[in-house]
Amino acid sequence: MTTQEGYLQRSPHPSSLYDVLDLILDKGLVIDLYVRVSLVGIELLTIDARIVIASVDTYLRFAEAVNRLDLNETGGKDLPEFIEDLGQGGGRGKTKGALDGAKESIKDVFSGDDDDEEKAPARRRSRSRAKDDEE
Amino acid sequence: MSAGPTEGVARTATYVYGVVRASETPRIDAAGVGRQAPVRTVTQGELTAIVSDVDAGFVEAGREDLERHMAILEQAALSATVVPMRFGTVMPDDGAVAEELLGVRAADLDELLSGLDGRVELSLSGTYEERIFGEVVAEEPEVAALRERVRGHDENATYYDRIRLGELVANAMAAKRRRDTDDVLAKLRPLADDVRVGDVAHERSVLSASFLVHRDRLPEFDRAAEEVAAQNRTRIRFRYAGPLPPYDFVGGGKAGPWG
Repeated sequence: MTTQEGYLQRSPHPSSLYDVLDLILDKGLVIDLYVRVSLVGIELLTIDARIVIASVDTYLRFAEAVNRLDLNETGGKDLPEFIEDLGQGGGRGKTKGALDGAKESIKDVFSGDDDDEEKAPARRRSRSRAKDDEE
Repeated sequence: MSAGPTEGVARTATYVYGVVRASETPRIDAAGVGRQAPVRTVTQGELTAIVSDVDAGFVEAGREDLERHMAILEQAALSATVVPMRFGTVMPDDGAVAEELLGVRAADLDELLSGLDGRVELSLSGTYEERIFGEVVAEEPEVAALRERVRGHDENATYYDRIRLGELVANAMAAKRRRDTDDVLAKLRPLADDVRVGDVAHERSVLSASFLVHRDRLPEFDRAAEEVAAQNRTRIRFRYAGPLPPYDFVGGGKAGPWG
């Protein structure tokens, strides 16, 4: 349930799983010895999702991003398309680079996929390439 | 899950979502985590815990449990000031909740509730739009020059130049991120009682911040957040969630106040 009012994308609560994890995992009051339930593997993936920005992989992606810019048009999107994107929240559909790759690797855990972390970076790369062809 | 017939009776434990003042005990109509038992409350003195029964062996949770935990706390936060517990807090039975949480920790809980009184959390995160790269090229002559050198050339031949180019872009983005974060915080911090700025989640993130805001100031905070978003509408996509239980303001992290 996401609404658009002015320029903020609003939702009563975090709209994507990534945001849910970001918001409530490792938060809240702890009484020692009494936190016994665990989301096995999830914490690990959350850390994995926090991409190290100073990496060759990121540099190459950034270089690609500035190279594909059409400076006359200054990239960017028109508002209607922007709003349409927002409506998709954290869902599938149009994917955008690294964050979505990370989200999906988290989703896979929840849906019980036998995915391992090793696959996530490869998927991110292929996604940023796919994005290229899209425009 | 596995009904583990321990002499025919499923053993039960008590899952704790959060604590409110007994005078504000909310009515929550929801199914809890795990076996989806109805949500109920345990009251001791001035304090009430929001709980539900789970199987005693409930140790591995999934996405749905996480969402239930969150939804139940949100319902409670509609009418009460809530101290949210860490996800996955299970105590042996109601007696333990009454004694070891609400009893022994009464003074600490009271202090936390007083500090949070009437306040909720708002979460704001921002991500740069693709066109931020246009800004970087326009503002950084070195980036523009290197871009001209690399564009249209064989990827392998320009490998190291592209890495250098990307590094320059990353540095420029980091500087931008600091400026934009400072700008957003300068506008919103005065309206909040407390702020937590989280780690940057990915390479185009601008910021991820949580604000503790009194309900009375929500409309004002809302307008300020809207203004920030409007000012940056072409370059930053902001996501705004709340009002939420104050997850970020009860001393979470690796070691809680009693951890």
